[in-house]
Amino acid sequence: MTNKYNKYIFTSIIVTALVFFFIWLGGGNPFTFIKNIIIGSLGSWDSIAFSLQYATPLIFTGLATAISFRAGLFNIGIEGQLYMGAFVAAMLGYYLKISNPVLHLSIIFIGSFLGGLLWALFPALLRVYYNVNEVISTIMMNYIALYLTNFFVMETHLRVNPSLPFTHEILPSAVLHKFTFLSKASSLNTGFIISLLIAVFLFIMFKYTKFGFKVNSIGLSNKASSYAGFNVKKYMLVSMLISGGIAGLAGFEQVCGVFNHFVSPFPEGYGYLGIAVSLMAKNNPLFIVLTSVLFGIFDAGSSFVDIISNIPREIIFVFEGLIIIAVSINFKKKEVYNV
Amino acid sequence: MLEYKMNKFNIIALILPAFYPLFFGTMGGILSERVGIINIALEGFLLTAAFTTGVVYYFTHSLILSMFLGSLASGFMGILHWYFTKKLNLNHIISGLGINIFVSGFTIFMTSMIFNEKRTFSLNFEGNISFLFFILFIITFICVYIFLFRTKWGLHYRSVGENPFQALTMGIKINKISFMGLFASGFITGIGGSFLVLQSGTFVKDISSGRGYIALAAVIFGGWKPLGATIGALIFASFEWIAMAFQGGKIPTQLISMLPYLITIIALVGVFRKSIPPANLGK
Repeated sequence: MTNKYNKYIFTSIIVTALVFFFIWLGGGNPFTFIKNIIIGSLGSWDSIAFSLQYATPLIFTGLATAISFRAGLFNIGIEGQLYMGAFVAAMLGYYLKISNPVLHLSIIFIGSFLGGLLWALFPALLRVYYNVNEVISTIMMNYIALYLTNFFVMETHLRVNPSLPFTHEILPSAVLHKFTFLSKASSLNTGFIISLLIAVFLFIMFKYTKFGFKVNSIGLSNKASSYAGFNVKKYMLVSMLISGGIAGLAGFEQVCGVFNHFVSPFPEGYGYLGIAVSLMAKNNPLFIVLTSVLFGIFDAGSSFVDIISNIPREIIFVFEGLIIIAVSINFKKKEVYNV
Repeated sequence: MLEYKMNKFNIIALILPAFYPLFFGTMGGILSERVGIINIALEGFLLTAAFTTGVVYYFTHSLILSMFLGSLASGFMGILHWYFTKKLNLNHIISGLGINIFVSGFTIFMTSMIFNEKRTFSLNFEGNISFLFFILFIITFICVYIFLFRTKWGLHYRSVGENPFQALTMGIKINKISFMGLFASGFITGIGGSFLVLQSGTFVKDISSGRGYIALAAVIFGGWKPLGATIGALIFASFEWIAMAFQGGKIPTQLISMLPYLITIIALVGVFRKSIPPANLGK
């Protein structure tokens, strides 16, 4: 067993122990909690389908995060990019009258990708040409997306019913195929397969293509890459845009596969969960699928726990925060001036 | 459309409740960023303080004690942020994000554990706190300003954020100063958090609702200076008030709520003037 895995085992033990401690502190029984998590996430075909359904947007947002992290950029704006992708999907799904599902879905797919991409374009340009820190600008873009979509839904004539913050239901031709053979209750859909394909595609890109190599090297050392003659600005820009686009696809999956309309405010948290998922997987696209499924299991399990006990489903955020911190601990790096 | 009487004093009095959380957040943000630690954990600090104040007030009914313990809890989160970034070498953004997410979940979890209620509890607090907070606002502003720009310690403090190597050769204990700075950052931000919960009288899920990020935006808008940041906080608070006052009217409030974020991005590009971050920020 190498040192690398020791760290993972160590952190998972610490995180689990802490969560157990918190539950014990609050007067609950940690073992009943774990049992309920497992029942709620893997207990039946329905719950397994729910776990995978919750994992799907995380795979998208995790992959989006990974690309930006690999290029040495912090795309915290995945939340906003997801919003824009979802909004575009809801609009194209209703207003574009095409009866051929494949054609319609392809157009929405591209539209959502472009929606997310557009939302990443501005911070990316600022980062590359004005050296504006992308963390702050993407956080700001998140809130702008939140209020902008809320404005469009609430103040214009996109709503079905004046009392509900929903846009029109998308046309049947725009709905992703649901895996009803597995479970009738969940909305596990073809989006899951699409996310797996993208994960494989990105894995191959990073491992075997010149583009992936260059993005990796820019993330590792900006200066060395520019000395080696790579066009650093171009690759940073492109990787940020792809990151935004894939975040937009998460919105596409949520609208066309799960909700069938855009609701404002759109469910939040997938962007930040994507960061946890990606950090845990060390930005490796294939591992992201695994960590996303793990978080999907937590999510489905904690929703079940929320219903049957007094432990709220927000316990997943406690997990998430601890994991984000635990996996990023770096004992080795010592500053010279660390007095 | 406005029911309110539009005289000068009235408007200020109406804006102040939106202003206090942002103001204390910006002061916390400045104290942290001036010592070189990026602080997007402000959101988590506000939430920690709001929750702790609420719980302590619910059980003791003592305003001062609850505010003090609330700020102390938030100061403890500041120390955690310091420990993660300085001792465990975490990226500052990741540490801040982790703290925010953790606190968001943990407060809700503890709410249901303590009160057996999901996502909200009531404090049974009724009272006028506007005078108290006005005094605190004045004191905090003067203290932070004088400390940072008019004392020897303030110079040492800023030198850690600008050039730690130089600070080291001067014999300044970098880690000690940043430790105290982050505690102060959490403590002062915590006052704003207490205000949030005391003013509304109930704790609800994510009561800070992005104010920590707006406070950070105000810090950047004000060029990492107390006066500029306070003006930024005042401007952003007035947007918040306008959005609230015009709700249901003809003006789309969402577009007004959007303005702080838009202005921050514009400020980042340097359209208004050059706003220069501390040289060693985030390293």
